[in-house]
Amino acid sequence: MRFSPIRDLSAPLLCAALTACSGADADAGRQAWLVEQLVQDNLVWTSRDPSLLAAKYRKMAADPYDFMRGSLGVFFADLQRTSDRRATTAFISEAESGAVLLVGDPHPENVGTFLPDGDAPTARSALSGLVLDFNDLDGAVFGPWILDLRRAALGFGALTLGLEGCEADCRAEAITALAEGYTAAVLGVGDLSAAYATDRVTLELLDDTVEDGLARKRLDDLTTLGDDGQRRLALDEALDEDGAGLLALSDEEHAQLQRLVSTLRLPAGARVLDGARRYGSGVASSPAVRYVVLYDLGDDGDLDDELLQLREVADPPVPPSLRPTLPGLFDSQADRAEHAPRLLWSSPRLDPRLDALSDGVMTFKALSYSSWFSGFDHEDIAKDWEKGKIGPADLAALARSVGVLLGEAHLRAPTASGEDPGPTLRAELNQPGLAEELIADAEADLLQLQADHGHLQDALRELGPCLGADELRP
Amino acid sequence: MILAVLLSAAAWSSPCEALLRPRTPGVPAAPSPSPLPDTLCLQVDLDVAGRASLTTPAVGVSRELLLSRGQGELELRAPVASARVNLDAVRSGGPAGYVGVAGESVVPRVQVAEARLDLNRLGLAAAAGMVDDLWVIGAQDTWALPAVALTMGQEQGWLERSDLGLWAAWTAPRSALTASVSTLSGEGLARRERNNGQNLMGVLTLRPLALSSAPAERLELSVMAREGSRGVSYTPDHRVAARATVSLPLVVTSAELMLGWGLDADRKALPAGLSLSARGGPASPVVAWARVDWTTNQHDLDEAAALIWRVGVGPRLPGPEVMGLPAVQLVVGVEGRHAQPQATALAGADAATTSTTVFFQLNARLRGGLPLTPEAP
Repeated sequence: MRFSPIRDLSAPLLCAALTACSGADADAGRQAWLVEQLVQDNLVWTSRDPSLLAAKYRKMAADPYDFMRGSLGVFFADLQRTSDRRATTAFISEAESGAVLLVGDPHPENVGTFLPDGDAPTARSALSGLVLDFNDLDGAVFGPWILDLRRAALGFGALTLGLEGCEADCRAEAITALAEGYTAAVLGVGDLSAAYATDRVTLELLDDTVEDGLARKRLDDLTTLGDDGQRRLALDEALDEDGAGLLALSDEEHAQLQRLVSTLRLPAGARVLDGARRYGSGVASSPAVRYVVLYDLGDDGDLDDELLQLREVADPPVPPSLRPTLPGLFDSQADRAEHAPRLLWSSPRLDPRLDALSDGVMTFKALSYSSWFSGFDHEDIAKDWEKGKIGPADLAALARSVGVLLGEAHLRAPTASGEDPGPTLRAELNQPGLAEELIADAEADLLQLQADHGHLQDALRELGPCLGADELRP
Repeated sequence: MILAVLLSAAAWSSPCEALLRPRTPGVPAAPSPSPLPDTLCLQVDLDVAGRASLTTPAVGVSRELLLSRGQGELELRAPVASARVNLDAVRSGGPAGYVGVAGESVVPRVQVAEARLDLNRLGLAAAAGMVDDLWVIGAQDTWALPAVALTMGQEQGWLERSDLGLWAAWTAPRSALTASVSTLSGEGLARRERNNGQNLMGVLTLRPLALSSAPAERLELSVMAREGSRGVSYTPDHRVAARATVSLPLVVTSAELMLGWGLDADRKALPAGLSLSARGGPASPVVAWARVDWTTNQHDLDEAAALIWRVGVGPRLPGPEVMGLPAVQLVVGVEGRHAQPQATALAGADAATTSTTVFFQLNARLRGGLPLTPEAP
């Protein structure tokens, strides 16, 4: 189809076009666009505490992987932006395939370990009881299934930036494995045991998790044992230079935490022992309100002491889709925060403490916060790579595991229309070209990510720590 | 509704008849030596429409029942001064969010809150506050069916319905031309100012038939240019447009061409569009319309255009009329959208290239006024 009545007519007008035609360079244009997207994405945090937003931007500027984590909204907006670098997909030919429940941001650091209840029916792992799955589903939203794969491919691309010698071929190997894992899961062929991943990246995580879990490392790190034999949260006097720390609650925070805890589903007999405000965790949601709660199951002593975290959940970035698909199957933000994971996870009770709570206009999700619940860290992976403990084959095996997890997650949840996504996904994956499309897109997306990371650094220098949005506070 | 009907009945038998003649913002009446009655009139305008529709391909949660328009306007007019407030109904939380007001309630939003000065003897007018975008409101008055579809510039997000700022306009004798200028914040009605730049816009409308014995408004030729910026990075937001309108008793036709440089903080965007429309005029036995919009956000890029067509019809129901159209309309319409691969939300997604919507819609727009007693000095 070709119809373009404007093009010829507009050329002379274009050249007369005021300042826009004065040769403003492309990089400045991209930087301006990026700044505007980030400001809009983060308006909710601008209106709260700008210092937390500034800390988020600093974190994003310091590391391209963290920039990727904090810029999902930019990624989606860029996909919708008409431009000459916008690649077309050969998939999403049916409406239902454009309304699959997405993980949202399935980069490698959002995959981690779970220790489900003992009666969880599908718990699977090479190590007894531990399960591998997506541990951050704040971005879960309905949309085209290929977006999850494209985002995961970019996640692996960003991961390779810290792996010396892992260039285009190495990335292509991983992304091919990602596509193969996804296809195998959806079509039901091949070995699907993602959670039995035998790559050394995953085995390293599992080993560390077991070691830390048995030692109750996080509990020990974040609490102190008092003279009365009771644990208390170990509060910091101030945030560290990275803006991280565990601080005492203000009166307002104390009242909010009390309201939240009063509606929290805890085991019978559980007693809340202490609470604190936690700062400096995560990237995208680092300015969100986070609480850590220390509780026990009613026994004397500290053997039954546990931690859980309560974290504010905001509206997810909107992916490019056929039509707006939220609220979809979810009644509210709290409903989405609780039930999207239950629909996508390999077991609805993968995290026994999963809960979602509303407090006025704010929504919080509750999650277990023990050392058994751990995740990949791109810096740890880079260290292991540097030491030669892992190589390209391990990276590819990890990517395949993520592909399988994604495929299985997509198949489990109904589409926004409540339909089974299986038939349409299988029909689309029977056509070739998925790996090739993902490799090409990932290389282009990674180049743009690196350029945008540089733009953010420049913009912070030029516009200040909140990108010039400080004056937008109400 | 009852209030509006009562007000409508009162208006036409009162001194407000002359004062409350419909007027397009930014288009003052031609200079007139005859003074308007020295009175104060209240005008109420309610414009509400509900729609039941069927869209294919269907996806996601049903959105087949829509409040396609919900606007209320109050205006106090005196011969020289007037004050106007226009509210519309919007879904809080946006189309895809959960963080709204009292859940995701439909809430009123201020679209216009303006103070206006009219110097009728000179054909001059000026307004300040949250004021209409003069090009959008001009196009909307020509199209006259905003409950069916917004005009091209507004629907595509190339222009905002209103903005903070001010405008001034002059109409020549016999309405041969109207010239208007405005300066606006550039961020539209829903965002605070983001930069120190203001949008500057000029609109010139020529009515060649003013020089003949035919009604001047039968043929209007308008051009617009806007120098603008948007967002914290001063992204260019320039527009030029031209529109020709022929208004006959049976049919009103319009052709509008618009070009832009910059869009929504994207300085590389080059939006362009052509909108051709025809609708039934005041003497038409039916309410009917046909419109085709060709649009693109990047006209220098291949395969980046979309074609949107609309047709619809309904009986001309008895009752009061507003702007030459029945106040109450029951219509059936069809809308089709065909997008090239680069014009879909996800480039190349076949499922997003074509959609068709069939709808029934009930519109009610009632307007009336009544005289008030000015406060004693």
